[in-house]
Amino acid sequence: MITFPVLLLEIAATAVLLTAWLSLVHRRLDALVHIYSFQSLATAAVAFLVAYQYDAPLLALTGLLVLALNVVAIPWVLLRIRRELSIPPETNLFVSVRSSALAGLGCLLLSVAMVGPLTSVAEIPEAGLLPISVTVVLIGLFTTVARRKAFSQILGILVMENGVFLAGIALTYGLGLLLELGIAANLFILAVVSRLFLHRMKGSLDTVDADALRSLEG
Amino acid sequence: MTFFDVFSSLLLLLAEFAFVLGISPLLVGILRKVRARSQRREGATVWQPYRDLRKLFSKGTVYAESSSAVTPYAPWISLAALLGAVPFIPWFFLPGPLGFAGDLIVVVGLLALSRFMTALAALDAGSTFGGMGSSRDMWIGALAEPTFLLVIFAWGAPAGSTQASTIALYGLTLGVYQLSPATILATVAFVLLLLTETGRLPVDNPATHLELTMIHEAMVLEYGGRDLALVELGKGVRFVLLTGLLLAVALPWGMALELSVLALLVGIALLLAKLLAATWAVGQLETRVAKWRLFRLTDLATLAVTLAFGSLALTYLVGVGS
Amino acid sequence: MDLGTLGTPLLAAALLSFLTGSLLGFSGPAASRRLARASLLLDLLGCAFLVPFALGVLLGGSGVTFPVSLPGFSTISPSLSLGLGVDSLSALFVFLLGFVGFAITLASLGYVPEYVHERPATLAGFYGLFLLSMLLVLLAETTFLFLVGWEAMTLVSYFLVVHEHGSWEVRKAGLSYLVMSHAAAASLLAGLILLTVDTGQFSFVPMSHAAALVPPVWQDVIFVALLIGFGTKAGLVPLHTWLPEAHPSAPSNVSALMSGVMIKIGIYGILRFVFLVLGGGQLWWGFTLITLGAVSALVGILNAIAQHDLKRLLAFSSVENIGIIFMALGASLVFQALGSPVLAALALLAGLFHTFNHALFKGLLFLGAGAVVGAVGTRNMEKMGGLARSMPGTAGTFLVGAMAISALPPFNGFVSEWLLFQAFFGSFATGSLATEMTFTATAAVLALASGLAAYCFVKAFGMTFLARPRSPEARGVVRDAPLAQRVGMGLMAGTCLTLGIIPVLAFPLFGGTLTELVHSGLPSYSALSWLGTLPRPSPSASGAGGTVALGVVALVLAAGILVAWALRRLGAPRPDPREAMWDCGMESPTPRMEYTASGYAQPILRIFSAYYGPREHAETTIRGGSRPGILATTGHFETEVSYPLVEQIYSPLTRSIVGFSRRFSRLQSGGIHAYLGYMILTLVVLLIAVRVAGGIFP
Repeated sequence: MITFPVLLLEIAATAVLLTAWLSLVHRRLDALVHIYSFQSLATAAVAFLVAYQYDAPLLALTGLLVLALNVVAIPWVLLRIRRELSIPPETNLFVSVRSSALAGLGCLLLSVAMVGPLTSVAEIPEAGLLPISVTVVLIGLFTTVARRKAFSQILGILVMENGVFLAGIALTYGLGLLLELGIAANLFILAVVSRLFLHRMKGSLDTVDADALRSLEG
Repeated sequence: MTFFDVFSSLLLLLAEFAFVLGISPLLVGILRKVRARSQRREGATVWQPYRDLRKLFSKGTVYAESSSAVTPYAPWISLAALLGAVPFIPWFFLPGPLGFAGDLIVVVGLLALSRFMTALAALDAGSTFGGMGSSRDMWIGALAEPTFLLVIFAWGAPAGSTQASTIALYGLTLGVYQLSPATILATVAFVLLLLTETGRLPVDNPATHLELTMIHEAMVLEYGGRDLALVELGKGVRFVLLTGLLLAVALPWGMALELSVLALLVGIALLLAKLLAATWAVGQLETRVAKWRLFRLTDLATLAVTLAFGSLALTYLVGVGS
Repeated sequence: MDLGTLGTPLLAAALLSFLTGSLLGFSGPAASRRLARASLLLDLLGCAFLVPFALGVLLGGSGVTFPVSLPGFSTISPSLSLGLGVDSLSALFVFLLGFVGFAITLASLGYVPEYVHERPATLAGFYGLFLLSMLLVLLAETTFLFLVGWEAMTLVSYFLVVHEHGSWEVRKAGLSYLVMSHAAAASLLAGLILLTVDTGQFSFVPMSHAAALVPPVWQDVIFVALLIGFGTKAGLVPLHTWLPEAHPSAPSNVSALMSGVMIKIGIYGILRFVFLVLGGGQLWWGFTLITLGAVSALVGILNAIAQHDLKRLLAFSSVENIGIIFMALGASLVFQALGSPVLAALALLAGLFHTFNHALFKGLLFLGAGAVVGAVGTRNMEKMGGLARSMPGTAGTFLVGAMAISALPPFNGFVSEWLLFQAFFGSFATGSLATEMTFTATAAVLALASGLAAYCFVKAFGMTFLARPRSPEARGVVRDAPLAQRVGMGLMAGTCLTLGIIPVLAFPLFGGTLTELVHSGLPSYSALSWLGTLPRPSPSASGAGGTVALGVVALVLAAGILVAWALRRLGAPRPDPREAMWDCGMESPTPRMEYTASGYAQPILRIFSAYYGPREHAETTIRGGSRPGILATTGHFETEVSYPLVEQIYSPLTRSIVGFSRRFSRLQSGGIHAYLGYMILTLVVLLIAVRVAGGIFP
C-alpha cells in the first residue's frame, strides 16, 4: 500500500520526468534553464521525501546541496553565460521537435521494458521511481546528442545528472551522499569550466555552435 | 425501477443539461475577463456573453444564396451532438442517470460529429475563409484524436473501463491515491488536448479575426443571428464538456453519491467552484503563451500523444487494477 | 426454416437467376438498354433469393458444414469431389453478397441505363457472371472448386474493369489488375497446393482436422503464401497498388460491387484458411496482420486525402478500411494465441462487423460517386461543386455514407470501431508489455486514421456537393440520379443508420461464425438490446468494461436536435431570407475563389511531407500595368505528390521483370514450327522428369 509521503514522492518524480520531456520540445534557452531549475527543485523534493520516509538525515543534507547548487547557482551561472556571450536565444536542433518527443517516448518505453522488471525484485513501494530516473538519464543523453549548441548540450548533461541522482536515491535510499557530493561538485566545476570553454570558443571561433569544432580538424 | 426512480433520473438529466447550457456563457465570460485583466484592461463583465446571446437570439438569419441545406441544419446538429455528450460525463452526481449508456469513446465520437458538421457548413457557402478554417480545424482535430483515445485508455486502464462514471467511482475509492505518474502524465496530455479541442491559445486565438490565424472563427463567418447564437453556445458547451470531463476524472471528490438534497447541493456547489477555478487557470495559461505558428501545432500534438502513450507504459509498471 | 427443404431450392434459384441473367445480357444487341435492365432484374432476383438462404443457415443452422446437393454437381471422383457446401462463415459472406448485392443491383437498374453509354447489355451480362463467380468462391468446399471460382471471379472482374476500354488509362489499369491478380493467384495456388499435399485432403472440413499435424514451419510457409494471395485481393498494403487503378476505371456500380463485396472475399479467404483450417497459428501471425493492417490504414487514408479524383479517393479509402479489418483480425489471432477467447471473439466481431459496414457504406459512396461522375462527366473534384442543390437525393445519401465511414455516431462505422477500441483496451489485461504497447500504438493509428478519414470525407463531400459549381459542366447538372439508384442508395443509407442505432440487430448473424472460428460465442450483452446496447467486454477482473447504449445516444441526440431546433425556430421568420455570400465583404466572389480540393488537402501534405515528399512548383508573372511590378498577371502553382511505394518498389520491380522477359522474347519467333518444337521439347523433358522422379521416389 502506498503511503502519503510515497505518493508525494511519486508526484515529485513525475514532475522531474515531465520537465525532462518539456526540455525536449522547448527551444528557448532561457526557458530551458528555468525548466532545469524547476526540475532540480523537484529532485530536491524527492530527496527530502525519501529522507523523511527512511529517516536519513544525510540525504536531506544532499537535498539542501541540490537546492543550493542545481536550483540556484548553476542556473544563475548559465543565464549569465548566455547573456555575456550573447548566445542566440533559441537553440538549433539536429532532430526536429516532433522526433525529439517521439525519442522521449522511446526512452520511456525502453526503460520501462528494461528496468521495470527489476522493481518487483527490489520490493520497493515506489515502483515508478527507478524507470523514471533511467528515462530522465536517457532523455538527458539524447539532448546532448540531438542539440547543436554547446550550451544546450551542457543542459542535457545537467538533466542527465538529475536523473543519475534520482536513480541513486531509488537504489540506495540516502546512502549516496558522498556520491552526490562528488557529482554535484563535479557539475559545478563543469559549469565553470564550460563557461571558460565557451568563452574561449567564442573568442577563437566566433561561435558556440558545436559543429564549428569540426573546422579544428587537422 | 419505480416511478420515483424514473422521475428523479429524468429530473437529474434535465438538471445536467440546464447546468451545462446555463453555465457555459459564464465560463466564456470569465475566460475573457481573466485575459482582459492580465492585459491590464478592465474588460466586459462576465455576464456579457449572456447579453450577446440574447441579442443574437432576437435576430433573424440570412443565408448565402450559394448555400445548400447543410448551412441551416449544421448548427443544430453540431450543438445537439455536444449536448448528447452531457449525460456520459459525471457532473455532480455519480453514476449519473444515463451514465451507463455511453462511454468516453462515444464522447469522442460526438465531439467529432459536432466538428464534422461545422466543417461542412464552413464549406457550404463557398467563401474562401470558410474553406481555410474548415481544412485547418479538421486536421487539428484529426491529429488530436489519437491523444484523446490514449488518454481515455490511460485513465480507464486502472478502473478497467472506458466509462467516465466508472473511472470516477474508482477514483473516489482510491481518494488522493489515484494520483500516480501514469495519471499525471495522462492528465497533462489531456490539458494540451483541451486547449486544442476548445480552440484556446496557443492553438487558436478566439478573439482574432485576422485571416492568417483564424481557425474556428473562419468557419462561422457566414453565420448570423440565431444560428450564430447556436454556434457561440456550442463553443461554450464544448469548453464546459471537456473541462467537466477533466474535473470528473482527475478531481471527482465531492460528487453526490446518493439522492439527497444536501449531497446534490454540495455536489453542484463544488462542481461550480472547480469549474470556476479551472476556467481561471486556463485563462491564466492563455495569457502566458503566445499563439503558435500553425504548423508548429503538430509539435504540440506529438508532445500530447507521446505523453499519453508514455502514461500507458507507466500504467503497465504499476500494474492494472492492482 | 428447414434448410433441407427450402435452402437447396433457394440456392438453385439464385444460381439459375444469375446464370440466365448473364446469358440474357449476352444474348442480344450489346447496346440494348432493355436487355440490360432485364438481365439486372434477374440478378436482383438472384440476390433476393440469397438473403433468405443465408439467413436460414445463420439463424437456423448450428454452424456445421454440410454439402448442398444440387443436380449436376455430383461427385466426379472420390479424391476430387466437386463439392459445394455452406457453413456459418460462408453463409455470412453469402448474406453480405446477397444483401449488399441486392442494393447495388437495385441501384444499377437506374445507373446502367442512365449513365453507361457503351454496351450496357454486355456490362449487365458480365455483372451477373461476377455475382455468380463470387457465390461460387463462397460456396466452394474443396480447394479445387475454390480456385476455379477464384480465377473466374478475377477474370470476370477484369472484363468489368476494362468495360470502357476505349481509354488508354482503363486498359492500363486493367493490365495492372490482371498481372497483380495472377501473381497473387500463383502464391495462393502454391499455398493451397502445399496445404492440400500436407494434409492429404481436398475438402475443407477434413483438411482442418488434419492441418494440426502439418509441421509448424510448413504452416508458416503456407500462411505467408496465403497472406500474399488473399492480401492482394483484399488490397492490403503493399499489395494494394492495383486497387486504386482498377476501382476508378470500372463503371461505378461495378466499383461498388468490387469495393463492397469482392475485396471482402479476400477477407473471407483469410478467415477460411488462416482461422479455420490452420486454426489461428502462432503469435507472430497475428502481429503481422496487425502491423500490415495499421500500415494499410495509414497509407490508404493519407493517399486518399491527396486525391482529387473522387473515385480514386474512395478506392484508397477502401485500402484504409481493409487495414482496419486486418487490425481486427490480427488482434483476434493474438488474443487467441494468448488464450483469451472472449477478447478474440470481440476483436473478430469488430472485424466482421466492419467488413459488413464497409460493404454498405463504400457501396453507397461508389454509387453516389457514379451518379455524380455520370452527371458532371469527370471524376475530378475540382470541376464539381454545388451539386447538393441539383442532386439532393444523391447528396443526402452520400452524406450518410461519408459520416458512417468517418466513424461518427449514430452510424454503423462508429460501432465497429468502438468494438475494436474495446478489444484493444482489453489488451491491458494480458499483462505483456509488448502486446500492450503494440495495441496502444495500433489504437493510436486507428484513432488517427479515423480522424483523417473525417478530414478526407469533409473534403470529398464539400468539394463535390457544396459551395458553387466550379465548372460549366457542374453548373449544367439539372437532374438527380435515377429513382432506382436513389432507392438502392437509400436502402444502404438506411441500413447504415439502423445498424448505428441498434447494432445488435446484426449480431445474431455473427454468432455462429465466432463460435466456429474462435470457439467463443458473442460477447454477452445486456438484455436491453432494443436500446442498442453493445457487448460488455470485461478486460480486467476489477473492471466492469464499458457499455454503450447507442439507442440512448441516438435518443439524446434527437432530443438535442429538438431543443436546438426549438431555440432556433421559436418566433423566427420563415423562410429565412437569402442574400449574396458575405465572405468578409468581398465584392462578388467567384467560384474560382473557393477553396479547392488540393488547397484543402495541402496542410496534411505538408505535415506528412516525410511520407508524400510533395514537390511544389510556383510561378508568378508580374508585369507592368497601372502600377508596374505590383500586380501579378498570371499565377501558377502545382503540387506533385510522390507515391513512395510505387516509385521505390514497384517501378524497379517492373523494370527488372520487363528486362528479364525481354531476354526470353527471342523464343517467340512467331513461326508455328518453333512452337510445335517447344511442345515436343516439353513433353520429352516431362517424360524424363517423371522417370527420374519415379526413380527417386518409387
